[in-house]
Amino acid sequence: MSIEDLRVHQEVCTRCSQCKFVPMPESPAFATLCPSVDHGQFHAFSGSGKLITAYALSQGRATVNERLIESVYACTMCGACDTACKTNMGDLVEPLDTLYELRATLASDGHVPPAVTHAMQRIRQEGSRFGPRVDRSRWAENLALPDATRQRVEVLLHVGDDNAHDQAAWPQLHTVVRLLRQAGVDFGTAHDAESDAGGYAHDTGFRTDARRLAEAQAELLRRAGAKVLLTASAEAYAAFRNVYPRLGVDLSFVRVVHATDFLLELVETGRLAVRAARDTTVTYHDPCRLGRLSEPYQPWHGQWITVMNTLSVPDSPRPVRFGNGGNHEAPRRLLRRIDGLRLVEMPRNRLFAYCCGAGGGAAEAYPEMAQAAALQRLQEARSTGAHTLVTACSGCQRHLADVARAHGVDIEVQGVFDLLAPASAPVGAATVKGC
Amino acid sequence: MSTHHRLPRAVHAALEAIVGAAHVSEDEHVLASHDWFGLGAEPSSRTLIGKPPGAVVLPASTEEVAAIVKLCNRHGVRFKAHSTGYGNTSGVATAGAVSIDLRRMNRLEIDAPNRMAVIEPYVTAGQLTSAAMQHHLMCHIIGAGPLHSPLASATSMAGVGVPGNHTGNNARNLLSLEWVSPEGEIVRIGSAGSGAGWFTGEGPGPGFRGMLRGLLGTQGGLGVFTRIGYKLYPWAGPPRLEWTGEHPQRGVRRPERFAFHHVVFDTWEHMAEATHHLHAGKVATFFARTPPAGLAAMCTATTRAHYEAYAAGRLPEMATARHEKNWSVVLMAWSDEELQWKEAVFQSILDRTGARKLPLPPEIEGPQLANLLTSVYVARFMRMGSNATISLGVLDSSALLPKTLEVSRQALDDQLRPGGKLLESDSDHNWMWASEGRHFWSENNPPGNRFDAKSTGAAVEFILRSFLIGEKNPVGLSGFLQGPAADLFGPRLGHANLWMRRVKNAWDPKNLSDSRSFISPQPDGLAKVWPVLKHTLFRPRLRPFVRTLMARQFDK
Repeated sequence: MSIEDLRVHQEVCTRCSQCKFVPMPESPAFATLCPSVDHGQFHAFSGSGKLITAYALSQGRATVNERLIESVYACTMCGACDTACKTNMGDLVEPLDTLYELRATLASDGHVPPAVTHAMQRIRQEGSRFGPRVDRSRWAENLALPDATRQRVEVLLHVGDDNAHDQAAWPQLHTVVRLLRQAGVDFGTAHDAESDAGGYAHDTGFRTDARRLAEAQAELLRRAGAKVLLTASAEAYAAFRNVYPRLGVDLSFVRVVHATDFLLELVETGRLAVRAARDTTVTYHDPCRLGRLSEPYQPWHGQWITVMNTLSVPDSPRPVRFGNGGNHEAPRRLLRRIDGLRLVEMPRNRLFAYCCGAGGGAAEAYPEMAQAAALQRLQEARSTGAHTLVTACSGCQRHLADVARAHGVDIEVQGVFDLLAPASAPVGAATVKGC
Repeated sequence: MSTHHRLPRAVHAALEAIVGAAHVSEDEHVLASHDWFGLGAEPSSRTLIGKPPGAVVLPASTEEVAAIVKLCNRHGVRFKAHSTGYGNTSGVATAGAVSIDLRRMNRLEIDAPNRMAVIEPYVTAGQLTSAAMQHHLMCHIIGAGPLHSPLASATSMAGVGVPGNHTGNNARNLLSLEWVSPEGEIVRIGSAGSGAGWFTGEGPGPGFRGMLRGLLGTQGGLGVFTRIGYKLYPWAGPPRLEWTGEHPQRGVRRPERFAFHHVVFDTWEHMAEATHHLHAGKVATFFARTPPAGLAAMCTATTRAHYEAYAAGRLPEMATARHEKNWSVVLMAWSDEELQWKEAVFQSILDRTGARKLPLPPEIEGPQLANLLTSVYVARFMRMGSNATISLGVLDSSALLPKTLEVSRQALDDQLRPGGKLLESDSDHNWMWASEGRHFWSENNPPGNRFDAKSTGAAVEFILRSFLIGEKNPVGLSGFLQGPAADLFGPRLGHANLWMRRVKNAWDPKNLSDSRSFISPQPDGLAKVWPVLKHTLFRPRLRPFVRTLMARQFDK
């Protein structure tokens, strides 16, 4: 695949700017959809603009410089442009495909912000950009979790390096462990053998690294023999469902599920009871990688042809990712099970949630862009009257909390499992040491 | 890059001094995004048009805009305003011109008691609608949908749209305005000119609003508009629409005291008669007619779904030629009694004209209603072909409705048949809506394929032929006689082109306000030979020759 291969998509971009806006906004103050163009201002920062940049590069009509690199990498690859574009253009333009290809092209030519290069070096050396491999399992000390690489388990819990190296996320991991044990789930983790899932490498353009990480993950799963790949990481979840099929790495031999979905299923089938109570008003921030970006990608091999004289169509049925297949409802349904908790929605929610600015390498390379995005999201959360912004991604949570603290935004930032934790009553469960 | 027309260094440095270095770019990739085909370019198979600006500049205030325009005047550099950038319709006409991208000017203020808003260029219709609905008000939305700039539409373009029966026409929604003249003078026109607020485009204060926009607008050819007062209209619905269904086929739940009907007629004459009664009865708040192909696009999420349903004869009934004579109608009321009365009057009109209501399943009704209230799906027009081919632009009595269709078919000839060069249809491609409670608008939009020179040639031939037919046998206003076409059909316009030229030359003596579509300072060569050419070239028997000739113009 190359930028040129996607030309049929690029050339039909009408530059309508739908990629910058919620299709029909609910609030004039929160109507934009793209943190990248909100930061960079010039159209080149938008989904359409990046697509035009890719086209111009492939036609020899643009050259790479620092500002071009910024327009491409001051972007979280949140996919909002892609989802919004489909409002009217269906699968004709597919902005995200070109964005992935543009980054892969720049990365292969070495045109990458130094902070991203550094993060990739850490992944190659330590299997994580967040910390050394030897620290990967510290969160689980004293939990006596089965090692899925040595002992066959039904469910392999992929913790995610964003969770594993963030002490603030550990209480949530402990809650997940406790709830799984309460429900009698046969699970284990890969301990220090777990690596970055490859999503970051893919999204920043390092496709070879991404494929290597994905193949290693698939091999680990095969050897472990688990039937379910359960992850607590939104980034990993999107990688498994959206990125791996793009890389040709097959995970069809396991069921891939996110912790919110899995726990909700346990609750709704009566295997787990949640008896938490909170007298508070919260709003839920949809993480991009748990939401629209986790919709499974299905490869398609065909040609675009013209029918009815002018209508451009794929010559065979083509799976289209509209974003509906992402995980938007499980966290909300879990939250609604908490007594006394009132869930209010931000104007931009679900498919059209505004990204917090943390993903895709943007926070490392262009922190001012990432902070601006988070600030806007926090202000939006405040506008609902909620006391707490809840999310289901440790990356979003960490970033939003940091920015709220730094800028004195008066709102609490918590994870879904933070709220489930304290009042979750043990239901005939084994005692979990350290939790 | 060979097409890069760099500004003189002194001009670039001065631009940086005005807006800050971070807000000026001459990077090739930034310029490319202002050189994109989009919607508003001249017909072309080129995706990068080859007319990139010399720089893109992002001012934050009217004063900065004025300083930029004065700078351009001092150095003889052309400039063009660019608001939300919808379809790059506001791209520069001349390579090397300065694109004044107004995205940092996005202030919005609702003046609810006076049913108006004060807005800057980068406020979108979607934003304004969401703000207005909080006050039981709504704004006009042109066919481009919620992404367009109401300021740009109201000051600089034709400004017709789906809800226009209730919300008018943007030529008349413009109140007071702030204008940076082509020479850089800041002028407040109408009430703002005397510091009295933004409520009227005439006095107290200087009042020459009509000369600046007329009916069709100057499309960036006469300075930069930076702030306007803009009319809002009553909205009986909720502060927020409730969306249902799955993206991209989301619909809205019908608000309380709203009714929605899709009605079909057996003849165009009956449809015209009903339209007259609907206007007279004042019961229909919005009504629009979408051609069958447009309805098919709105009922389907992708082009393939559209094609499969069309080919298999599985399109919803409303989207078939059998029901081509239709209005989608919304009745909006403030009380149950008012709605009952409107429903009764509406039914009596249907009874008198032999019309019937076509039941719509919920998955069709929701998106249709959403589109009528917000125009969110009109842009699917662009999904049906890679070229916008637009002619007619009827804004006149509904009595002309049958003739509009007759002329459309005459102009399209065989191009919609299988093997033709415009989107296949066994019906037509006229999008219509009621306007201002008294007449109707229709534009004939057969999608073309710009990657096929024959299709582009056929599209241009169709546009010219439409205007030629209209010249002999007028069918209302010709709303797209802009740019070079204004000179070709000047007599048809009562020689308005001559007056437009006087205005242009008087206010922009250096011809620096760089429009693709406004009148040029001098007629071009084609205008001089056109009177002879049109009588020789456009004879019916020469049609194949003309199409071939046109196609050659667009052949790579």
